[in-house]
Amino acid sequence: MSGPLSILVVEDEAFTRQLICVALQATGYAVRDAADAETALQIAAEERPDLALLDVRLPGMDGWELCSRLRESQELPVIFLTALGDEEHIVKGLRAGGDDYLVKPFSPAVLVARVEAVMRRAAGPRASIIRLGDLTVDLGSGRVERNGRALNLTATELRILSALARRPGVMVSAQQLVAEIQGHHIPEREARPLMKVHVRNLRMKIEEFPEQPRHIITVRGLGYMFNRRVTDHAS
Amino acid sequence: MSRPLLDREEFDALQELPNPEEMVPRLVSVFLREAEGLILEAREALAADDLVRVARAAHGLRGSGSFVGAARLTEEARLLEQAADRQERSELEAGVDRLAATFGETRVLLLAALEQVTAA
Repeated sequence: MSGPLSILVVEDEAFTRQLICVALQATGYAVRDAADAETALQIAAEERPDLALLDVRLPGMDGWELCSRLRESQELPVIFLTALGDEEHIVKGLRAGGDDYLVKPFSPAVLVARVEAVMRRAAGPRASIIRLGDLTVDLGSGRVERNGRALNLTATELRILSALARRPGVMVSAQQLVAEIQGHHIPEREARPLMKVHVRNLRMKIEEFPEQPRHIITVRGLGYMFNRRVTDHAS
Repeated sequence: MSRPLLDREEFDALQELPNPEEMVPRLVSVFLREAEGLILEAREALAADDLVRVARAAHGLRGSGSFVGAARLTEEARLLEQAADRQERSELEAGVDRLAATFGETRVLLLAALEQVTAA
């Protein structure tokens, strides 16, 4: 079973909650939301999200207590959301176990950047050699092997593979991939056919059955994702 | 000095996010629908002299305008929330009127900006 990384959004203000969900879903995360702490605890117990965004000022149990309760049963990164931007509250939030602290109002760009940063930190130090099931990608030398046999990838294919393999489980749009591997932005409608060709060629080389890819998954209409269930990082 | 109705830098930054073709229209659509509802909510709450509801509606607007670059609306919502919290009744009616007028102007700019984006 594979899928995008999941985020639990706990925010009692419906308007803000909806906008946060839209931004994160469009980015490629699976999102569940709750307006109060009790509902959030139920969802977390059932679905074990990869990250939680917690509003501090919730009705009943506040975000700080919710963070403690969540951490009793699972280790997951937490970002606090709050209108309280003074130093005392930020320190309190971080001491309560928060990995980051977002002061409202914030933009989607800041939200997505903070989420990505916390996800990266939670994933641990970046590996120089990444083992992905039967694949081994040496990011330093650019050598890629399948079952111990070296594969002959083009520079573009290697960059695409590295970009996806560095963050397994995270959806990356075609536009983002082009920006990362070529260093410039083109419209999504141009990026999609371009990446489709490169990814197809890449799959021919890295997948045992290219028509039923196990490593690089297409997230229909959104982009591509490395299947994190076959990931095994080694430094 | 009042903030711009639409902070173009903030709005244009949305294009740099993953999947902007899906994200931006959805953000604008949710924003326009919900903001209008909250302004109506603030007006009704004020007529009922329910200042807690006025503050809550303004709080919702304040936290959400930044998602689409609605800078002036965010600022005016902040001032309205403060006035409601302090029970400054004399400020509230004008505050809600200002917010509604700003929302109308912001909507025009947002829809025009969205059209530019989708036509590009």
